[in-house]
Amino acid sequence: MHLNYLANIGRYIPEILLVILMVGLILIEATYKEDEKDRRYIFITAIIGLVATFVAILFNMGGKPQAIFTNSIVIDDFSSLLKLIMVLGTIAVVYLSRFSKDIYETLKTEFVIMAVGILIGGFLLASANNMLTLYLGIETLSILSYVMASLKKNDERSSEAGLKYALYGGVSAGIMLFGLSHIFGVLGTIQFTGVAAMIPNLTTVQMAILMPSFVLFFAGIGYKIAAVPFHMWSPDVYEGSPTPVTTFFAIVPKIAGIAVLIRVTSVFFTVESPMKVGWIGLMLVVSALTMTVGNVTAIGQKSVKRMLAYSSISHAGIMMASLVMIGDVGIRAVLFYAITYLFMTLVAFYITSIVQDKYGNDHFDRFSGLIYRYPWMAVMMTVVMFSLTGIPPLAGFVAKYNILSSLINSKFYTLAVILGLNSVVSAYYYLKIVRLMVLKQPESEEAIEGFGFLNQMIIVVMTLPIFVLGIFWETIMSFANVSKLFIN
Amino acid sequence: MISDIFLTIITMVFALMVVFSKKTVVSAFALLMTMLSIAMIYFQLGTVFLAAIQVLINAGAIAVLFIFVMMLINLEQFQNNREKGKVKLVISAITILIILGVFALIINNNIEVLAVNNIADNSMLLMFDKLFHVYYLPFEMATVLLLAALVACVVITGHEKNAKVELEGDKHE
Amino acid sequence: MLEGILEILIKIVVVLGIPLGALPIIIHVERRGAGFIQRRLGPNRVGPFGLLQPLADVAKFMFKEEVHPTHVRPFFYTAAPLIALVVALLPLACIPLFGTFEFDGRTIYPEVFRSDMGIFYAFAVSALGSYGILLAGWASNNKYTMLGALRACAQMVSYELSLSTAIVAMIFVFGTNDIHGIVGAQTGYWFGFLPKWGIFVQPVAGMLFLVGIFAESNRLPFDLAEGESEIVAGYHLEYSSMKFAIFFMAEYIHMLALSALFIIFFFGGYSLLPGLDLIPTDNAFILPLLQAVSFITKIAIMVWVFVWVRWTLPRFRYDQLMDLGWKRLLPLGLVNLIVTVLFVYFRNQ
Repeated sequence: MHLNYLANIGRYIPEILLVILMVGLILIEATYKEDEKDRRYIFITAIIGLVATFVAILFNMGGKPQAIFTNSIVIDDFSSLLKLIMVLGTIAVVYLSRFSKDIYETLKTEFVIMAVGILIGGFLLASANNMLTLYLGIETLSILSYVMASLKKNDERSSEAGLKYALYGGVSAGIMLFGLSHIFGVLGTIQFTGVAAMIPNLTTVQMAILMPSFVLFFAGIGYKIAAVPFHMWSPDVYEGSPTPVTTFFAIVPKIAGIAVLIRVTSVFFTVESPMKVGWIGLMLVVSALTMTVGNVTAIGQKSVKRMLAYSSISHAGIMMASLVMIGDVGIRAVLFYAITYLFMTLVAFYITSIVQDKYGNDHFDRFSGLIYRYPWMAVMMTVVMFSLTGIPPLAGFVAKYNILSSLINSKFYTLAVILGLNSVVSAYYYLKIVRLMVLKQPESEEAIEGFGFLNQMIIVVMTLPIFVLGIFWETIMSFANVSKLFIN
Repeated sequence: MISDIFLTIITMVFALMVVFSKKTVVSAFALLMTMLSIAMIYFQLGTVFLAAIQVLINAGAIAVLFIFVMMLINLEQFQNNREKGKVKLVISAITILIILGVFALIINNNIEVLAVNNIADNSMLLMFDKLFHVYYLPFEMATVLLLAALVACVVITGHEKNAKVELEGDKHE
Repeated sequence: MLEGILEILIKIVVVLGIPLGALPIIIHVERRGAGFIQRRLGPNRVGPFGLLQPLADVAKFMFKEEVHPTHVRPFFYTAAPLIALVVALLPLACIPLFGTFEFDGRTIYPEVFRSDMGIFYAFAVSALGSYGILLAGWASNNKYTMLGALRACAQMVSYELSLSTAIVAMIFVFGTNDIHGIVGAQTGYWFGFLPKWGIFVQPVAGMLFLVGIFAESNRLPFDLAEGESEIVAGYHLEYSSMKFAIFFMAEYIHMLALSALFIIFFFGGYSLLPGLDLIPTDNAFILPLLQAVSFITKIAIMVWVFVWVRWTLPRFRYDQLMDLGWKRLLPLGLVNLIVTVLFVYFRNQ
């Protein structure tokens, strides 16, 4: 048994590093917290730990997919790639929280600890191979998210956000467990591969019991990625939370939720069966609705943060659209989209957060004339907005084109049309910011402290991949081609 | 068989009381009784340790906290404020019918993949064998989850560092 | 089949009868002991040495006017004392007075409820002990009772934790959670004269458990629930005559059950007192009898310790109590647990 443990642990090093990092951060905070200067230690330790995790994941990649810890966890390139995206997002958000005014000085260190905790939950979700690990991952993600949403203790919108998130999340977790328990009761196994083996051979009665159970299961995951019938919490939560927290929510839980959705779809539903038809129908409807609702509601927003929140809902819908093409094509498209989504979201939220810190609110008019005061930042924001809309030659265009062409190849014409229409509609609100930044005069001439030299450099560095991926996308595509799921 | 039906009926009655009772404290106590009934069901299925843990933790600590809070926050003035709507009624009815249909299918077709119905002499040993040899990763990750929840609770309820309350009795030391 | 039912009936009668019968004796010991510690005579008018005083008390309770206040919540007000009494009696179901013995070709286990979880049952049901007090305090619709009830409830939940860490450490040391196994591991002597009791193996856990059972049964120095000088009579303020008597009984029976648990873990349970094992046991009934006598003697000494501590120590303040429970006893219990686990692991290698 001991040798078995060690062999397993060798492939699990990123998560173990993260757990040690979290415990270490708590210990450091317990001993050091009196002085403000010592807060630096926690940030430095956190960033070093996260970078070490990044490197550890890179070392883990390239092997064949392997199920460890008696089949509870799968380590394969697919999950490793998504974990890389999550770690990069966390590093950027930890840095953002350092200088953001939205998080109180006394709570900055707790933010870092909780961010690492959420990351651990996201890692668990991305690698889950049985229902127990999936549920544990979702709960770890959720519980810390509830508290992170209410970090601005003196603001009642923040407390409202946390409360709504908690109530909604608790009910959704219960509903998901209900569905999962029925799946276990009928099929007798919690392993994904075990369930996948039994799905093609179901009797009618079992299918009649399992169809509602799978819908309930999807309800739990859909809540996490804010898919449409379950998205009611996201506007209030995204608006009420402090901006670094919103950035974090737009990246890590979404990517983790999409990861588990991809894994479930690809493992359970490869073989043709009536369940597969039902699931694909469900995904079609949900993704079409999500894209549309996200876009249409983002049109009327006056606050940039809320607009970005709704637009992230519609992007999650687009990622779900590529899931209906079960197989390599769909997975490749989603992975590429996830990478571009990460960078676009980070830059957009960074700039919004800095502007909000200066002016206290983030209405569209605060961005007026940004090009006259900080030309580089305005250019980066423009690039990101163009990329989000899907204008060539940027990465967003390549990602959307990929998904669109794969949809048309797989004969899902309606969904392709909906996707195209939504991209056109989204141009309105994305380009609204660009118009304000470039064509209007600035409101005031004060300097914005957040746009110091270091921060501008970081934002430019984060925007570079959007250019690079837009032009040199074959390397990433072939890389994403190799990432395969683990199917027994 | 009779005890199965009896326990099921009790659990459902108490669960419905939780949802439908007009007074919040009665609701919380019905929750406590639901948990005790579920403990009895666990005991009857043969997993005695789960029954003990259910009583100890769910009924003995969690329900106490619920009742504590309900008693402190006297919610009498909010009690008759439920909204009623036609749409809600229709959707609830459809959902209940679907769920009851699923249950009917399960019962009629005797779907019992893993039925444990006797109180074995080593039920604890069997359970812990599975827990520590097959599912040990979720077990360890649950400790991380608990640690995270602890940090979360401290963050949300913690006072600022320099607000320390002094008491009369401490001054004489 | 029939003998099975007869066996269970006899066990129930014995297990219910002995505590309820010992109750007057405990009450008497408390009142005379209080007098002895406070350098005064206790009750000595009703019968020789005041031995019939409990009888007089019962008569008083039965004939006293039962006040039915109108401002209480009816159902919970009546239910609370009953819940308190039942929950106090439940742990007794798994405590055997003597060891297993053969009778008519079958082994007879003297506890009423025997299962795989052994001693966990006692802790599971004593966790429900806070409900009687909570209900009583809240149903009385009175500020003072509410305060007393909430404080008592918080105290019980907090001290259950350190109690549990002590228990887990003891179960590691003994290797089993079956009561007969635990007592069996404590029979015998080291070096010929030192009995193998748990208190010598785990003194820290013993201390934690002792403090824990004082807190669980709401006895001084932890009796904030009925702190007389602060909140009049605490949670049983609005109760009179028989209902008050039921609370009274429930408290003493809880005390009895918890001291029985303490003796089982730390003082050898029903294993024979040091002198008694010299008596030859040819008859099959001598050994159980001696074991029962040892157990009852040990419990009696423990009850005297309860009374002794009650009239010696002053009451804790609420924040001191919480501080003790969470910041000092719980870490101590966890450290003890870790050391014990490491010790047991390396001993088994």
